[in-house]
Amino acid sequence: MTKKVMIILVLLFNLNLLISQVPDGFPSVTKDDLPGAKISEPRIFNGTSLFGYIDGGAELYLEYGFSLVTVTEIDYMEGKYKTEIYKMNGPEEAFGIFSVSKFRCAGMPPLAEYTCQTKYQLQICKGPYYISIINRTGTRKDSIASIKIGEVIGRKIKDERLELLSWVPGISHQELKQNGILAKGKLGIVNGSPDLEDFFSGIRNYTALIIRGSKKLIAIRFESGESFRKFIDLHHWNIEVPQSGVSLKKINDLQLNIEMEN
Amino acid sequence: MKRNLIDRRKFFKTIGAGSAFIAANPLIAAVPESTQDKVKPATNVGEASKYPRKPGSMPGKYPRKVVIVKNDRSVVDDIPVEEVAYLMLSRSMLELTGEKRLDKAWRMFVNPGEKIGLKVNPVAGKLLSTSHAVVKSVVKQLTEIGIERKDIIIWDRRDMELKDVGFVSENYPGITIKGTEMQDEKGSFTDENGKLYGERNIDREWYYWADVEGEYDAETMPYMVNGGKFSYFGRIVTKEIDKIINIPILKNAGGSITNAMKNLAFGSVSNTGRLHEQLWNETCAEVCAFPPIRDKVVLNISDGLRGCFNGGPGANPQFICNYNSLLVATDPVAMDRIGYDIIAAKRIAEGIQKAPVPESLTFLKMAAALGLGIYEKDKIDLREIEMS
Repeated sequence: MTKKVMIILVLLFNLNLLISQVPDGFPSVTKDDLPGAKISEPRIFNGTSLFGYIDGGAELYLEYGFSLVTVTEIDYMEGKYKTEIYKMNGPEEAFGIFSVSKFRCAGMPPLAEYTCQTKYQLQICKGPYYISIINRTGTRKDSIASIKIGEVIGRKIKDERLELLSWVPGISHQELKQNGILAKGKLGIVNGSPDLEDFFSGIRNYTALIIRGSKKLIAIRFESGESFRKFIDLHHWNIEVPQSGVSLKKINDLQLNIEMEN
Repeated sequence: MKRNLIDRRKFFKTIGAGSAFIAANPLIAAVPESTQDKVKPATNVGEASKYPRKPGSMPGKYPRKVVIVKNDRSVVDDIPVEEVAYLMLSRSMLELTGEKRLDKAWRMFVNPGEKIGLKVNPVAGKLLSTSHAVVKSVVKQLTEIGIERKDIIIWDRRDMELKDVGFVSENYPGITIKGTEMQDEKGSFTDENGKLYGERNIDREWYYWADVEGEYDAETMPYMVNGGKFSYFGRIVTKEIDKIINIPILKNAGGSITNAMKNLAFGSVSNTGRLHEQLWNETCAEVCAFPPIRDKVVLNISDGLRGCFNGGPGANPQFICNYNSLLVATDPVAMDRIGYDIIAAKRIAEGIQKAPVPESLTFLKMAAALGLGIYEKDKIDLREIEMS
């Protein structure tokens, strides 16, 4: 029996232990935080075990860079709430998931820099965390309870500001909050800006910030010069020469800004 | 394929034959450029065609035909209504079969004494699971023609997800409810010997092989059952049921959809994590070409009462909508094509995308090339019925 097989067997024997542990410092909701609430033991999925929770939906999180999620059912103020706290690999990754998951926000409660509230869901992006609080009935009471739960979680997260405004000079913070999409691969594009799927076809190792306004502004940071070159080749562009239909600006050897019609 | 039928040399020869089959097939050659420019890992799909088809093999008794029944009263306060779902199902069955009596319509597909598997989809949790309104309607109509409850199995890959959304004996007395991957009462995935319960529930004689290695850590393994290059069919499919009634829920999966084909393919085999990135289209089509699926699926009933148009296959409430529709077909490819059109239209209406994306139909083209159904819209016999 090889050493690798032995290690796997030992890990399997200790599976329950591995599965039931929430890391120290991970934001969670306790009864002390919400008097009167009934809070379930969290279910925890980390790394690729996310497939065990959302099956194929895990690919999107893994593409961005995912660490761990806790899933807790909370009975509070006569309502039932499913709270998911995703720890991504960093604030950028958390904003990315948030940006492609929100849709027509009815409100943006001031619990963090980036929030989005709809009838059945409150979404929060703070530091490396993306938080989703889902209610059952879509009532005003549910919205209020969701905000209270969100406040508790938000308080336990140290804010790490994301400096995305500098990527696209001239845009406002409001534009970023309302219309910003951050993608790190094909699935992020498909979910956040599907009309650009062909535009990024076959390209990897990049982060794209897309701002939709009267025009489409795209800032792409490549991880290598090779990815940069591949992208330019894909579109048969010559950076030095004005291109039809798009305005290109090479910021440095790894960043390209593009302005184009919607 | 069935493991004991083939030795190593034959196996690789088969893969070669599969490649030749693909090379000769213009539909597969029509896969869009972005997926074509990468060399796809080989699979053992060529092996599936070695097993002779049966008279009722996919696409079943009514190739090309899809019935869609719409009823605005099918969802009230975002909750599917069982009584309305029952009527929609009845109307669909009569339209599909051309029969005047419901019992005769059902007996075109199933008969007392047969073990019937209802393949549901609880993956996205309570908010976006195959609804009890539809599943209970199916159960009711089955028992009305004399199928005993003990001969009905509600199944999916994960036992715990079935329970989580309410597929439990209290709601379905007398019916077996089970999944391949499971936990015991203490929440452990392993027995006293440290062996995954899931391993007992896979059939190593039947598998989908793909040249992509599944490598999982200890926390992921319980949801995959095994790693490596083999995805084994669950014993529920291969041993425990005679016929399958496929009951997916109408959802998007990125720009494409997850409905009949995906529900069957990814829901029937182990070790799927490795297949999503490189072989999503192939898996959706090819797993369904193997006899345990191809020869057992008699009916597809897509629960489109509620569904989603973005954020799928997970449940993001803001993307969940009421399609108020039930789709019924024996041809899962034709059904998925109609399902795609419904979702694409909704995505366009909601401003998610501007036009249908042909690449999203890739898995359907592949399935059609494997003889599993019809994907071209103009060849589909679509019967639309408005009930409300």
